[in-house]
Amino acid sequence: MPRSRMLKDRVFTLLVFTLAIVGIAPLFAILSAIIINGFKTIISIGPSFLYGLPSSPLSSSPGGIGPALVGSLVIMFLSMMIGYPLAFMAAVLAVEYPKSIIGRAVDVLAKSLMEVPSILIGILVYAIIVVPMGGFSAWAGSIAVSLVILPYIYTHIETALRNIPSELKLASYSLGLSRAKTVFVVFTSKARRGLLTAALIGLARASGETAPLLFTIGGNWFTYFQGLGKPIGAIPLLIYTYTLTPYPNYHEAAWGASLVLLTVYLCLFTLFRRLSG
Amino acid sequence: MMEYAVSIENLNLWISGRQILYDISLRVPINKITVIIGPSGGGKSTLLKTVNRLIDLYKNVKYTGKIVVLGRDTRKWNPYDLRRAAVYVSQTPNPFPHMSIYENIALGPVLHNMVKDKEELDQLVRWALEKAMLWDEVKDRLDEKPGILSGGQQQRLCIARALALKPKILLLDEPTANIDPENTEKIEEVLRSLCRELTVVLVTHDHGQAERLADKLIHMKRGRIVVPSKIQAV
Repeated sequence: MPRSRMLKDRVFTLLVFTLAIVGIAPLFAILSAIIINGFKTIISIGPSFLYGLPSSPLSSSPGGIGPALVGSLVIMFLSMMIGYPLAFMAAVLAVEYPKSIIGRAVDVLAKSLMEVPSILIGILVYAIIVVPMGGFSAWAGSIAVSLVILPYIYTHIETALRNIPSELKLASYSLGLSRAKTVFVVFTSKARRGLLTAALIGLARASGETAPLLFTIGGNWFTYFQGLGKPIGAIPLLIYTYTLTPYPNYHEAAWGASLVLLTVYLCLFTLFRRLSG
Repeated sequence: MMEYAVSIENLNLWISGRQILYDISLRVPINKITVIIGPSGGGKSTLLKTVNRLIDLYKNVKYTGKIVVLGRDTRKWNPYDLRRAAVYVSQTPNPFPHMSIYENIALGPVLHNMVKDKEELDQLVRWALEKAMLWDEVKDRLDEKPGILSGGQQQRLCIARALALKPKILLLDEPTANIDPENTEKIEEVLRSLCRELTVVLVTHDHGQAERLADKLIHMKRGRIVVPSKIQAV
């Protein structure tokens, strides 16, 4: 190989490595900060950090994040219960009736929803649910989060259904199965991996969303879940709220909560990666 | 009493404005093997899919004429009941790859509520596999996926899956294309044994196979019936 080409090759390799390190460095910095600071908090408090109540701002202890953790789980569950069936039905419409006006409209709408800033969805839900209901609630937060996660779930389900070979559709219809049975029995069992992946990606997004919760759940950090119509807490909103306060013990709690959130997210993401293989 | 399982009169069919079938009229006798033979692209498969209205699932299809299946105009049939009574088996073996061999056979009867309990279902699955001459080869592997089977065995599995619905008519679209001679022979044997109980319509471009199997032979070319004839005339 001529020397000039060898030199170019080495310069290019060096450039690629440097850019890769520059790209990964912020992620590494964020992860290491969360892991180091989060561990400090969790080790100082122990397991009660996960189920305890928050401490007073004047206390030296960071307290616990129990109500917010339960709130997050409630919102994740409810938003999936609302968002997943809607996304599934939308994907079935788009895949089974791709040329129809409704099929195309659903596809465009679901994909456009992905581009809408999530805080706008929070404001919309505030206007149409929080104001008429007269207060913040788990319902409002779950509906807002479900609207945010819907397009992500939709995209994964739609891809999974679209990848089903046409011979299987023909086989199913040849057996006299109706479109509903074909979709709900044959397609869902064939695409179950994709459907599960969609659920995991939805859960992962639901666990970390903050903006849609700002105007919808009220941030109840001090009492455990009291009902779907009552204000509720959530980990992402707790982190946001605590970091805005001037209290060092709340900052510590926010680091600990960040590590909990990161762990949940990484677990779901790892499962997602394994399934989508 | 019905004389013919399928009776077609003046069928013309267009897909996206292009005419595929021209003025087709034919009759398929009950409990016999009727073979439709002709070169590729002659409209044989389209004709087969029109009989049980699978063609309705395709876009931009229009057809005129009259098709009577088991004494009833196909337009008056519920399409799902029609497809169950006249089951279509595709040229490419298409078992459900994510289901076990057992589930592939059981799916139709279960979803059509044909069986009362597991015991009856087990018997039906065994019966269908025996009819398709596959039972001995898969009886110890019923829980495994059909991917372990050869192409010919997969095609017989598809025939067994169709038979489990207890159809009156079996519509076979080149079932032995791309299959080794041994499996082809077995499938032909299956078809000969079946025609005592049901009507078989077989599409093929293999003249030897047509000669071996046909009680009635129909020639098709470029969407038209060319020489309807008895097998003796071949």
